[in-house]
Amino acid sequence: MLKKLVSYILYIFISINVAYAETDTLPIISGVGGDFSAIDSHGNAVEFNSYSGNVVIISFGYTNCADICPFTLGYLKQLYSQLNEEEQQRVKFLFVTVDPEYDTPAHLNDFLSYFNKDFIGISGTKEQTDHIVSLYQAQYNELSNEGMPTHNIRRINPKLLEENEKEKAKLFSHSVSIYLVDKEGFTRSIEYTGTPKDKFVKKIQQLIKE
Amino acid sequence: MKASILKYIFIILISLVSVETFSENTKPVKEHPSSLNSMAAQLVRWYGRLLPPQNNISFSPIDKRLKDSQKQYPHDIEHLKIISSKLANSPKEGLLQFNVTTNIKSKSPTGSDWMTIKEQFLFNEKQDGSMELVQVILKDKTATEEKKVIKNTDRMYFKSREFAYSWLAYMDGIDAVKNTINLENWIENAVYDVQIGSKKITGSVVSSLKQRSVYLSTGKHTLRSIDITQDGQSQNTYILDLTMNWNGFNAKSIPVIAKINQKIKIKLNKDGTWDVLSIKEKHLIPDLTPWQEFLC
Repeated sequence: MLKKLVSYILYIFISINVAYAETDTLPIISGVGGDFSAIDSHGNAVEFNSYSGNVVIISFGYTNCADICPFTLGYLKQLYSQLNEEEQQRVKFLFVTVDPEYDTPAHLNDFLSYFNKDFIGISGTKEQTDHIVSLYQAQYNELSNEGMPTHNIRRINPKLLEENEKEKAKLFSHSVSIYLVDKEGFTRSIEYTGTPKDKFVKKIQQLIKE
Repeated sequence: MKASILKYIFIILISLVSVETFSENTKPVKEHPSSLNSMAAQLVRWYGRLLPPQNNISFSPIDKRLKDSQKQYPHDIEHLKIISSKLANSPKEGLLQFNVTTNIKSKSPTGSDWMTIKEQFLFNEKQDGSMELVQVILKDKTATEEKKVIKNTDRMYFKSREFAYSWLAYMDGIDAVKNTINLENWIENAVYDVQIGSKKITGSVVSSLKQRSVYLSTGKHTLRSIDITQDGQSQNTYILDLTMNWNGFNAKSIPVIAKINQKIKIKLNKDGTWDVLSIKEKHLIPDLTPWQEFLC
């Protein structure tokens, strides 16, 4: 009898501890993010508020990025796989190109399919790109005036070209931050590929449940 | 049997302690009882009065009860710099205390003298939430070696800070400071533009503050930096560039953090009062993480 009583009390205390151990409410980071118009990687005109009701994860990069972008997308792919099927339905992963001139919707879609077919590329005009970058107070810079012959760039997937067609592409530096946005479009966290995945996943799950 | 009972009691006690520890760790941080800004405004006003006259720059008279405390300073002060200020719990019941250290340069028969002064400013919270300076206690006053004079720490330096802290106190909800900033004169006329991400608010100060309060409902502003420059168009018009943090809740009680920049176009009248002409506010990305500035 005493043993049972102690077990029950212990169970209650452990439950209370677990309840206290849960993360606090993520604060809204005021002024970061907002509405924008763009073209997604399926070639559709989109408004950001069309993702309302979903948790959104936003990163910046471009397809000719040899290092951090494939690494980031690989990291995001692992995050996605740690969510269950229902949670995956409630999250959108957006990859905003800083080189919309080269990264057409079709090429962006092809690029992202190497990581996850559900990832959404965001392209558009340079003005639209600059507007999105400014909303998230991110940055990007062209690294040189001259383009680089693309056959010299180590990249995930070349663009389909005509035989013997040569092309050049620009190289950029860009922000590495990953923005976690809630179902109402407010930015709630700014992470990067160094964030422990389980910690990031917990935040996503917290916002899904909100 | 006895050993078993003791074992179970021990387990229960350990569990009790761990719950207590967790609840201690998640207790909300004790809020300041009122806006620190109203105290800071009075501090800078106190010191601003000690400096030599400059153009139209005047400060409201001090409480008669505190006049004697102004006698502790040297005459003919040429330069004054606050080098540290710390909020502390006062041993006197119900009061808050600022411990302040200043370096002061004053004229003397031999040229200039330098002095370091340590004081305690005691504040009492009033019913309306404002803080009343009730006592200034001199703790230490010593001659010191020559210090580097920082340019522009003149009357305007303190006058602009008096405005900035009072304005922040008003935005924190302390209505009592409105006379300090001459609010009634410009609250309906000055244009106040706010940009929060893609959201833009524009209107008079009254209407913009009301719309802004949906996003920043209850909380506190903390001044991070202030810069005042003359507006090229007019001699008595200035641009006050303020950067501040905000911590609190929105109208839906969700916690919000903000880093806010305000560019305030402001005119100094001949009677020493301020008139705000316009305010442009933009919410910047707060300094949260080291990687947010990284580019790859």
